[in-house]
Amino acid sequence: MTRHDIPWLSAAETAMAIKTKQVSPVEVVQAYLARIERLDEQLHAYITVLRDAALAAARQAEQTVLRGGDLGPLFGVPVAVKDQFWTKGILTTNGSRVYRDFVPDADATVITRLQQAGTILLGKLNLSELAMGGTQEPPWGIPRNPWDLERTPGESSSGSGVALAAHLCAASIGEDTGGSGRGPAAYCSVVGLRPTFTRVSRYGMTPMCWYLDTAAPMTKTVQDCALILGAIAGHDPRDPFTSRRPVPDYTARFGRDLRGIRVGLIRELYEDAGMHPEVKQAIHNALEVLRQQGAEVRQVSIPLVALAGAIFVGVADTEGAGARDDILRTRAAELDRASRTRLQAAALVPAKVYNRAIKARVLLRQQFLEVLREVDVLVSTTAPAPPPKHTALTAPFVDADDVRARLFFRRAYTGCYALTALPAISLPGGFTTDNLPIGLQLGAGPFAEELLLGVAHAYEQATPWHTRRAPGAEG
Amino acid sequence: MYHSGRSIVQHRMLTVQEEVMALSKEERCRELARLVGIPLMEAEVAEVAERFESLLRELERLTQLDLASIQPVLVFPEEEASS
Repeated sequence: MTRHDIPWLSAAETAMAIKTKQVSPVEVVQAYLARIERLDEQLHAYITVLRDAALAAARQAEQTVLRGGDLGPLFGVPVAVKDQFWTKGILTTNGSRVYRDFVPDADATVITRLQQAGTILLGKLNLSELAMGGTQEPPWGIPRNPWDLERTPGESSSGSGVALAAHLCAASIGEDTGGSGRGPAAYCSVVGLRPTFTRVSRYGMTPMCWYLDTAAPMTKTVQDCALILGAIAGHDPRDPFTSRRPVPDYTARFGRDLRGIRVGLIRELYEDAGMHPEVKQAIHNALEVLRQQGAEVRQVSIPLVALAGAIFVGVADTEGAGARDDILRTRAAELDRASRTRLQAAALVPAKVYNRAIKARVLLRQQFLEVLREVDVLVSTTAPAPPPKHTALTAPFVDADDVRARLFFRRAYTGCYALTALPAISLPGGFTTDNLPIGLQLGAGPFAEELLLGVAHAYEQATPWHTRRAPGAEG
Repeated sequence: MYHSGRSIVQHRMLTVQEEVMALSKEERCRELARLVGIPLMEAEVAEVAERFESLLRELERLTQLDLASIQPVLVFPEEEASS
């Protein structure tokens, strides 16, 4: 194996190559740093690259390997995290000029657990301002989609999607409020998981929306996703909402076919008139793959999904404005114009409207749980169209209909799982004829990540999509 | 009672509502922002107003739901996972 081969490995393959002494942790980190130096000036995946600290950690890891220490399945793997997670003594910008000097005095629990798993932190990744989406002039550069540099990599964990698709890190942690992890995963043809709310600690993760935010493993493969989730999940006394359930082996179902698994296609998200025809065809094809694996496939109806976009903005934007009240009162001028006007508008929403949205959220959850008594896994696309061009996102709003089409319409696909606190995963589900990625989204019941990852792994192994390389990664 | 059959309070409430509705959407937005203590940039009032009106219009769709018996929950109880 040459140094040039290293960044194309998955996280699990990297750890195995280190364990079997085919490569050293130092060689691995150097290989990634060389790619970052060569490609990131154009891609803008990183805000901070921790060159010296990563090399120091790699040298320490090398000593552990030489001593014959007990190496876990992620030992020596270079990871990068969305710059929303606190890192002790390291700048944490939240993608905003407001936080350009913020250096936390503690690590987020997710960071601590990644270190305990033996991973090496390469750096902090770019994101939409305050993890919201729609930033017009990102202070640390516009993140470019390696599949087409003129197109968005998705928001808000943009840097995570870019870094994985361009092989600038082996694995990443994004954050998912309403699709901020799964969206970039879909647009960049990588894997993104939203775990059950309360499965992973939120301590040290700057909040966007108190009751929707969750850390989101983002990876090159489903196996990597299972390993990362296993490393970061579990109770944390510093986040009182975290579950005390034991953390299972999330790879336990790998290698099994799908006989006995009931799969439900969400009708309301499949018959959407606005869906791109090639995306619809890709979902049709995915169902056929699941059938061939032994799954029983049927259509299911969740009527309230049609209103999930409205419910989502009612909860997320108003809570987001509440969480940023201090900034809106005193430092609004430092925000990007799009973030500022979005938060200001949300701050004016009457409480009775917010209350209606959180009640509707409960009703939506009831409908999901009812359907999940009939089927084990739900299927839809992650996004109804391939990634749009940057210019389409940053153009000024024309009128209220334009705002609705650009901000609310697409939120139903990923927002429904955030609202219902259920786990969902986006994985590569195909490509358009223009070689643009299409994301397949699978969802399941509360704490059913083991099943979800098992089904995702079976699909991934039966399809070639995860092996295709982005043109922007070849540079 | 007023001659229209409405109480003074009812009359006053209607008057306020009528006054608010008579404002342009930019003026409504300015007034609400003043009340909640959020300073707006004059050049951006139209954009904030557009976003606000759009938000309310989107959220208006939720009035079609019967939510009378629903108890709002912020974090769902874990017991639901095994029910």
